[in-house]
Amino acid sequence: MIVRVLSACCERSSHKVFDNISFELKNGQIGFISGSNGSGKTSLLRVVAGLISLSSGTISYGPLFDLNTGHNNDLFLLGHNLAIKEDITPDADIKFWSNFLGSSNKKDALKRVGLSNLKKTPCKYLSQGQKQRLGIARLMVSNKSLWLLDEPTSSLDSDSSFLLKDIITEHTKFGGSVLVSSHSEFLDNIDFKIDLDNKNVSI
Amino acid sequence: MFQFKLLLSKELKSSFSIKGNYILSLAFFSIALIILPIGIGPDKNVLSIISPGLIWVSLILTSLLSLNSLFHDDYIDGTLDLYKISSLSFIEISFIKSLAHWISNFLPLLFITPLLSLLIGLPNNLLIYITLSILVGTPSLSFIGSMGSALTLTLRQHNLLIPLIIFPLFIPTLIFGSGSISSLIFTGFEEIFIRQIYILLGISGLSIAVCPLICNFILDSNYD
Repeated sequence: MIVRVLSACCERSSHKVFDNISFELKNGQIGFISGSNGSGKTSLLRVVAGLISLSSGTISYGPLFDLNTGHNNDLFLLGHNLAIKEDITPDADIKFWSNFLGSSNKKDALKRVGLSNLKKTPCKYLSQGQKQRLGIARLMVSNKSLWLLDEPTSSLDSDSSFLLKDIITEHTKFGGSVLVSSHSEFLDNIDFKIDLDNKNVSI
Repeated sequence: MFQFKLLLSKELKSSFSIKGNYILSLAFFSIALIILPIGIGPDKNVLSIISPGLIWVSLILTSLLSLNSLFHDDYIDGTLDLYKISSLSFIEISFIKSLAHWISNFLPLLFITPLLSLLIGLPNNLLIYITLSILVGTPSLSFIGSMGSALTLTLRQHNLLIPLIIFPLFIPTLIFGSGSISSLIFTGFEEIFIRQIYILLGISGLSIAVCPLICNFILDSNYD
């Protein structure tokens, strides 16, 4: 088990975002979060990342998480805000994050996402889709077992979506887990689906 | 420790880039000390008496220019979220950021102070003392300022609020910073200067020790 959420309820400024959500994500599994705008997809991911606290319910993490420091630092988040600085080059960005997250594993991530010819170009000249691909490259070098992806395909073309699917499948093959929220059904190998509109979890 | 160095060098690299804050601070500090004597008048006796105050007031105004963006940019683009889920705590993050702010915004000022002190008629023999007081006193400005920056993280009008919040906290540094040099001008006793430098050291040491803890609390309160 990587993460277990039990009857989670989340309130943002006294407005209930989601209610009574339970699921368990195991190693090597892909969880898919669907729902309409404002149904709480981003909030649920941020709850799992530990960026928002629950108003009721519990969330527990598996043995890979560092219980001593209280940090859930075996996860990495790819959110709406990509945290890419304007002046940094993709090469330097990947180098910084892989070092910062304590992994030495660079394995040509930029080449894999098709940014190798742009690796010396400052990120302000990259398109939104290219920035998103840099975010995916960051995930690959992060060396974390749980990936939280918030609308990862929002600005990707269809080829890149296929690439992302391959990368996710590869990650789960090595025992990693992925929790992804999206409008498009670009994954066909999901293990369970959390429907926030109807508040059910289906396999 | 490795992450610490990595983040510090990243912060310094972005501060010392072409668009970095340090040029703005250097320019603002120089302009303030160039136009103040023009406004006050060329009387060298008057200028030399108030020169320590001029330098310290300019330092405090300079610090405000760059404090706005200490945490705000990272908050807006999501970097702060990634720091939050990393193994570094906000105590370390805010310590690193304040340290980088001090290195990139105040250390360069030390090098142009000798030149600018000619313009405001600071007695030449006091140059080494003013340099010492800047070196010892300005860390408190960066670390206290980081609290203001953390408090106004989510606000749109953050650059207006920061001065209101942290100016009162800058006053002790200002009093003992300019007071240490003024006491040398008026009394000539080095001992009084040294005592005030000790107080400045105390203020800086206290703010280095306490402000990152408070910042941690404030930044965490944004994630509830």
